[in-house]
Amino acid sequence: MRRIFSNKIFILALVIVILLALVAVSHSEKSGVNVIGNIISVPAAPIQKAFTFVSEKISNFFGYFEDVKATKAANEEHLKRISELEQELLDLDKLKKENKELRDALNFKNQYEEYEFVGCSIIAKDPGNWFEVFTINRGKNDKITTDSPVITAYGLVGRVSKTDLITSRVVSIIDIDSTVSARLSKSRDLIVVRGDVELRGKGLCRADYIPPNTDVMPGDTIETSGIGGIYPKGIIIGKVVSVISNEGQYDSYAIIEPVVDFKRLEEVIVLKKQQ
Amino acid sequence: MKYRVVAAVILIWITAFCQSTLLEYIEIFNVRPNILIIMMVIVALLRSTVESATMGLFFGLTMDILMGKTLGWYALLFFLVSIPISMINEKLYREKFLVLVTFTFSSTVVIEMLFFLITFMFRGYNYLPYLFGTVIIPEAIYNSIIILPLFKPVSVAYNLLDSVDRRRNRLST
Repeated sequence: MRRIFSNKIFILALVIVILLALVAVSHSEKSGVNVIGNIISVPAAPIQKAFTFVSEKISNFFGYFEDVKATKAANEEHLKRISELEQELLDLDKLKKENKELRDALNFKNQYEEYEFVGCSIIAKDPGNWFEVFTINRGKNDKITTDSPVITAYGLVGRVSKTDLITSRVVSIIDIDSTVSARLSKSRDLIVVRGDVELRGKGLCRADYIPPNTDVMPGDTIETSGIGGIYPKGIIIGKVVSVISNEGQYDSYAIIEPVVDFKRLEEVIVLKKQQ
Repeated sequence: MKYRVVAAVILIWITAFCQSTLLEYIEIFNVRPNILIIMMVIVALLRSTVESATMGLFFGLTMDILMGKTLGWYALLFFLVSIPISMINEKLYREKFLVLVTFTFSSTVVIEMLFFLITFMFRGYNYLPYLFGTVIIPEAIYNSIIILPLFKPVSVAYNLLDSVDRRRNRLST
């Protein structure tokens, strides 16, 4: 027995088998074996947070002097815009009340009622060149669960794919492993938005399975459909950049520019299901 | 032995931290270097087969953990690539520019190519020429450049550890 364990080829084969078993077991995002990620993520999180904080401060410091000039001009424009918006706000308040009354009358359920909004900071980006995954500073301790939708004030970012104790991994909608059931805001046609290998680098994604008779134009808005059970309905995904017909095929596809700028993303909101 | 393990853990830590934060700022054309591969090559060029394979496995596992996808593929690839390099390292002029560049370039191409083949197994290999030209080759070139300033400090650190080891052995005998 001892001779077998001192045999180099046996040890090599054993390590390979163990690693392949690890691959098989950890393939599911909810697999318990993923807890070994805590070995790296728990002690790394404070350092990553500190680094992100320092790098933000440095870029803010250098950006300050450039911003002064631009801010002055922008300020004048903003003052003008504020007065316009104040008027719009009054109209909006009226519409909001009307909307609530109508929803109550029809007994509609507000889908966001079941979610709690958790603000998170991005503390690390994907270490390789293949995926669009990033790390946020909230994890199991904050009761974040896998498949929780991640958004910003502008629209959809992605979903939580793995949770460690104090950090979580988020797969963005431009990642090649991401698929989102979506709807064209104008025509209400159902489509599938997914990450694309070539478009990923430009911060774009694509919408597949657009039937030939669909009314879709560049500039049209795309939002989540609510089908699939992960993303709530009505979150803005992005705008159609161009529509391309698949040669010799029934349907066409569109290139989508997400409303979220993934290169400059710093803060996100996780929609946590209330217990 | 204890401080050797501590030194190895610190090396893996610093590398992992740099890979997930600092290197984001030196991306060129959306491609960032992979210093975990670079460290694996350096360790494989400097150390014994067992130490290199073990370190390779942990560097790979760290990469898997940082990526947050399936665990084990990079660990397996790093482990397998570090073995042949460490088996022939004594026959090489390890500090020569050409040796460092050749081993880093070929290791990056082999690891990333195999990773691509595994990842895209069920998606088809239509994107192979595109990704080979835009990700794998640029990353291999980038890694081959980055290894040059990193090799010397790591080799000095290992020499220091060896000399501490020798001094301890002498004292104990």
